[in-house]
Order: sequence, then C-alpha cells, then structure tokens
Amino acid sequence: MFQTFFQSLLEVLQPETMLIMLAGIAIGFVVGVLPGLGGSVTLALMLPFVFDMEPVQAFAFLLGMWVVTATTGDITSVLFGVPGEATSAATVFDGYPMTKRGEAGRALGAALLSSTQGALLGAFFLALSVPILRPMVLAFGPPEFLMMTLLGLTFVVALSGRNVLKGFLMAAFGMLVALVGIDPQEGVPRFAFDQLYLWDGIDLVPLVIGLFAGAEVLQLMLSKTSIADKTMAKEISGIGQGVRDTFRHWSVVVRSSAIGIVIGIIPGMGGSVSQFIAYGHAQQTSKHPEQFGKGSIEGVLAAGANNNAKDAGSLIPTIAFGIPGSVGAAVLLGAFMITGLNPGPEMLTTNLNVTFSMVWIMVLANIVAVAVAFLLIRQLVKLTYIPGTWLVPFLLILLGIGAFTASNNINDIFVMLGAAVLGVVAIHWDWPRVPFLLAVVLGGLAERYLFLSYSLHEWFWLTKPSVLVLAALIIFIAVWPYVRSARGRGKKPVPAPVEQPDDDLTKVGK
Amino acid sequence: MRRISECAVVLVALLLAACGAEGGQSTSDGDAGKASLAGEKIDLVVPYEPGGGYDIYARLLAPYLEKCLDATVVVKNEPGAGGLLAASKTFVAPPDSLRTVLTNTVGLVSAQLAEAEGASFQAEKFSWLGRVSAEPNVLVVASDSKFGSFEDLLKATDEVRFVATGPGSNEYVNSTVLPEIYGFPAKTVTGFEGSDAARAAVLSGDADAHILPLDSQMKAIKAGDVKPLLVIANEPHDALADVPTVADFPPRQGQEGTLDALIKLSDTGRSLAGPPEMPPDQLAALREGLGCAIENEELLAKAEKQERDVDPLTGDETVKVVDEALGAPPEFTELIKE
Repeated sequence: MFQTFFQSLLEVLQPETMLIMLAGIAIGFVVGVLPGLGGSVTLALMLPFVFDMEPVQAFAFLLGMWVVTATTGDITSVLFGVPGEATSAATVFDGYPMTKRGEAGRALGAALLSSTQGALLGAFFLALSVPILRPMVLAFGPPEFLMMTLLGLTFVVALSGRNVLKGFLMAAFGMLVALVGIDPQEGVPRFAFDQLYLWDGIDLVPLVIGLFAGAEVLQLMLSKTSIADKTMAKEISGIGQGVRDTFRHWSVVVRSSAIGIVIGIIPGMGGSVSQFIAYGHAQQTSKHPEQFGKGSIEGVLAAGANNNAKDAGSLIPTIAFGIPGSVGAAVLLGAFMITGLNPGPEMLTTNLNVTFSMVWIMVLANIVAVAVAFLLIRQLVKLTYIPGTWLVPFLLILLGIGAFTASNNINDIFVMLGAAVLGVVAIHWDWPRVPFLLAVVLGGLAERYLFLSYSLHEWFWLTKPSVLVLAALIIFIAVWPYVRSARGRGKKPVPAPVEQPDDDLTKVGK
Repeated sequence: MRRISECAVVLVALLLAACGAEGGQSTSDGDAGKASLAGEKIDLVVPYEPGGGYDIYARLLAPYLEKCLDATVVVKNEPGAGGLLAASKTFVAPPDSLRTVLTNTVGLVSAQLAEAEGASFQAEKFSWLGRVSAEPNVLVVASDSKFGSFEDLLKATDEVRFVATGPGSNEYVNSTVLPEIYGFPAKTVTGFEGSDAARAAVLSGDADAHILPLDSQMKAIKAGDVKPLLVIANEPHDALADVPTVADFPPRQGQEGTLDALIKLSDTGRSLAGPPEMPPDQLAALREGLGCAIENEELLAKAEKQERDVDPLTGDETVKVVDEALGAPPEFTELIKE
C-alpha cells in the first residue's frame, strides 16, 4: 500500500498532469475569490473537458480547482465581508472585523494558512482511513446525525456572548425560519404562502450574505469612510503574525479540521453546516470567547481550517460508495463515470492509486494556491483603503451576484436585502446573529433526522451506544463552561490581550 | 499615482465580477442562417442542483443543441420544490421566451395526478420538444440482504421497508404502488435529503429496498453494493438481462391497470419542455434542433461513456406518452394521493 501511495505522487507530478492541475488551480483561484459563481457550478461547467483525460489528470484538474475555491473563498470574506463561497461565511464573523481595524494582512495570513493546514489534515485522514473507509461510512446513520446536530445546537449558548437570553431568542427565531418550506416527512408545505420559492425553505446563501455582508455594506454607505480605518492601520507584516497564529493556536486548527472531516462525511449536512459548528466549538473552548465576532484570530482559524478539511471528508463516502457528501462531491462523481471509474471497493483495490492521487492533489493544489495568494496579499489589502463611496457600488454588485447565482432566483435578492436590514438592526441593538444562523441551518436538519431515526428504528435508536456516547458529549459540552468558570473563580482572571478591538467600530454610523 | 492605481484596482475587480456573471455562457460559431433561431439565446433549465443526472444530461446536450440551432444555449440550475419550481416557472413564461426545461416528467405527471399542492400546471399544455431518455425503474436491495429474489419479497410477512426522498418523488410513487400491485406488506420511509442518502440507509441495513431509475442504480450494482431484484418494465433491459421484469410476475386481480399506469409513467422519462402555446415556427425549430443534437455520434459516445442511456422520442411522440400517463385509472391516482 505504501508503494502505491508514493507511486501515485509520481503520477501527479507528471509534467502534463501538473500543467492540467495548475490550470485547474488558476480557475479555482478566481472563482473562489468571486462571490456567486460557486465551486460546484464551476465544476459542472468544466466537467466536459475531462472526457479525454486519464483518471488522475481529470482529478488533478477538477479536484485541484475545487479545493482551491474553498481556500481563496476566504479572501473576499476577510477583505469585504462578502463570503466568496457559501462555505466561507464563518470567516466573515471575525476576519472582517480584523480588516476594519487594519489587520487584514494578519487575518488573511491566518485564514489562508489554516485553510492549507485543514486541507493537509483532511488529506492525511483520507489516506489513513483507506482501510476502514467503507465500514466507517456505514457506521453513521440518522440517529448519529441527529445527535451531531444537537451537539451543534448546544453551541448557541457560547455563541450568544454576554447575553444568553438574547442568544436563545435569536436561536428560537432561527428555528422558526427553519420551519419554512416542505416538511421532510409528509411533503406538506409550511409557511410557504403559496409561493413555490419558499418550498425549499429560506436558502442559506442569500441569508448569510445579507445578514453579514449586506449589513456591513449598508454601514459603509452611511459611514463614508474606507473599510479599514487608516489611522489604525498596521504594517502588512501582519501576514507573518497571521502565519504564526496558526501555530500558536494549533489545537483550534486541529479540532476544527476534525469537525470538518466528520461532518463532511455525512451526506446532506455538508460544508455550510460544519463551519458554524467549528466556529461555535472554537468560541466555547476559547479563553477569550468575548472577542468572537469582534475580530478573534481563533474564530478566523476555526473557520479557515474547517472549510478545507470538510472537502476531504465529503470525498470519503463518494469514493467508498458513490454517495457524495456535498454538492461539489456530487459533481466530482460525474468525473468518476466519465473516466470509467466505479466508486466502491475498486477504488480501494485496483484503482487505489487514483484514490491516493486525490490525497496528493489536495495537498499540492492547496500549497500552490496559498503560495500565490501570499504574493498577492499586499495588493489585495490595499483594496480595503479605498473610500467607501468608490467601493460600495462594486460591493453591491458582488452582493447581488452572490445572492442570485446560488439558485438563479430573483427572490433570493429580496431575502438578501431583508437579511441585510435584520443584520443592521441586530448590530445596532447588539443582538447576536450567529445563533440565529446556526438555528436556521441545524433546525431543519434536526427535524429531518429525528423523524428518520424514528421511522427507521422507532424509539430503539435512543439505546444505540454511539448515540449514548454523543449524548454524554453534549452534556459535557453544555456543562463545561460553568464548571470552568466555577473552578477559575478562585484564580486570578486571565488578562485580555492588548489587541482588544474597539467595540464601537461595529456600530452604525460611526 | 496612488489614485490611478486605486481606480485600476476597482476597474479590474468590476471586470472580474462581470466575468463571474457571464461565466455560464459561451458563444457559438456555427454556420449562419440554418434555422430561425440562429444567434438567439436559449435557456436550458435544470430543475435540480449541479451534479445530478438532469444536470449531466443538460450539459451533455447543450453544445450539440448550440451547433444544430446555431444559437447560444445557456444551462441554468434552478433547484426548488423537487423540480416543480422550474416547471411552474416555465409554465407561466412568455410563449416566445425560448425558455426550455429538462423536466422530471414522472414527477410532474404524478404531482398533477395526485393533485399535489404546487402542481400549478397542466403537463399536457407544455410545448413538448422531445424526450431525451427514459430508463425503467429497478428495485434493489443490499447485496447482503435477507431478500435474495423478488419472490422472497412477495413472501415477506414483516413490512418490507422502502426508502424515498419525499412524497411525490419517483422513488415514493413506485415504492407505494408496487406493494399494492403485488400484495406484500411494505412501508416507505421518507425524509432523506437525497436518493444517495436514502441508499446509504439500505446499505447499512437500516432499510430493505430502494427503487430508482436504472442509470442511478448502475454504479452501485456494478460495485457490488446492491443487487437488482426486479426491473419495472415489460421487457428485460440489456444491461440487466438476467433480472426478472414485472412481466414475470402477474399482478393481483384487478391491479393490471395500476401496473400498466406505473410503467407508462416511467416512459415519460426526462423530457424537454417549453412554455405552453410556443409560436409554431419556434416549436418546430427547437424540435428539429433537439432531434439533430440527440442523434450526434459524439454526444452518443459521451453518453455511453458516462453510462447514461439516450432513448429519444420526437415532440409528437412525447406528447402522446405524456397524455397516456395522464390517463391513469382512478385506482392508481388514489394510491399516489396518499
């Protein structure tokens, strides 16, 4: 097996294959930066080009492109607060506040490098899991999925910050929004008001774009300044600091990557969910949870690392059973068929070299993309010093395209605008937005998996050992902060670091 | 100087954004003046997200349709309401809007028969351009299942548990109607987010059986993860020559009409539709263009490579097939209503 592992590296390093991969990386780089044209749509557009390629070349092209979109999607999230990809939304929460206080270089350095580290960890796990790939995928079922969504929901407390009551109210509101649409069990439309648009519920992409980016752009319009405060600008050398941050907070990177891998494996849960869970967990375990949402480097690292690790996770069921873990993986499945590969046992025996080549492609593509991105950071950061009056029209276009192209529906623009208003209101009166999003995302899934668990196992699912283990973990996570604060009361309080941001910067009209 | 470089940055960014918006399009360079649609822009709407069978067929078809019509064909994904959203939007689109949708015709017809909420269209009124493919449905179980053959299912005393995404889906219609036709105890577990997640429940042994069109089952059958027990068609299929068909198992008394309706439903397959009352010259041009594209050798070779059946029907034939499926007997519609 080891021989195959290194043989597949040589296959990827063939000049022709490398050239194809670089082309894929270049496309993925641009697509990732631009909001709207998502990674999976681009993959679908590029699929016809792989008809005449060898399997390893086809994956070098497509997989190289796909993993890079996840990495560079963070760039727009950090610089403009507009997520380049739906899966880069959580990077906005802290990356953008850092930009506003002139630390764009540091935030980008941290986001990009943690993305690469996440990809490396994901690829490493994919390689390691080859012998147990198939039983591992089947070990998870709806009861385990349900427990994982509940686990994610317990982070509402941590994500609420100082005011837990406000957090719970926002989460309850999110749950209500999650009820909109066809119920998964009986197929009855709820709160759809005879609008087919509402049948699939409120789409996450326009919601995130409006709630975060839309609200920020509205504020930028009112403030008439540039995104970054020039008086607070620090040297671009912050990139180096961002890089060091990824090593200083290595455990956040590792844990967030692990969350990404596990959730990536679950079909249907996918990337947009795992980033919130990773973010929530990072805040829960942080020594400075109060800084989350205001420019915490740990928040940036959690979102960045998670984002890329989940791609590796979603490849696992795709390779093992042809069951894609995400929309992007579903398009990659098309490449399996085109190149004559059959997902399943063959991928672990006769075509093992292709499976391993995917590991190498993920690693190499990320390294190349991040190296290029580092060269460009200096220029990119300058964008944030452009006066708001220049930048706003351009950002409005990005917002519109970003919200619209997710499903080519004009109603998404209205959802985005509504969410933007909600976002401004929430910022102004200090209501936390992330618990709301978390509940929108997880509420629907919790309902789906609860009904599926019951239909498949009646109440016996409650006695599954894996369910009990996860339940114990949920209780531990929910209780832990109280235990910690009770224990810490005797000791002297941890001092807040010097880079404590100015809260008022996030207020409207400042 | 500083000012200029800022301007340049904004300009480049705007250009990039424009590229993003136009990224889905490509221009045609074929012969001029072949058909009345030369130079026009035609939307080819996929009612699901990228990556599924419909997406693959649409993107396979688009370049050849462009060549045959000398027009620009833009593939658009408009997911929503299990494919009903894109169909409903097409139903109310202006007749000459050149909007076409690759429909899940089985889903449309069964939603209309079941008088489902959201079926705000009459399938017979679409301007049918032609059928692209129609694969028979195949019943599969996990390869280590206790059910070794369809006879085992017929003899089952406990409920056979089928899986499906949601009511109204092809999987759901088949797995509720088939047990009625043959009279064995069964239950359909719904609520999976996709057919793939549903298959995972069969593979892990949480559920027993799954009915999907042949091309969606082939890769799992080839990989040895599932075994096919029954082809829901009157003739055996080349790819599964050894697997029995419904012709081998006589239905319960009085259920012959239901079985016939179920087969006719799957005959409607994946078909291309435009808005009702499309101008006749446009309809004729689009039908001819589709007919030309679908016979292209290169397209057929690519389809075969991806193991996607192409089984075309002309526009008129498609209209007939849709009408026949809509004429299902009341006992069939009663079954799928619940």
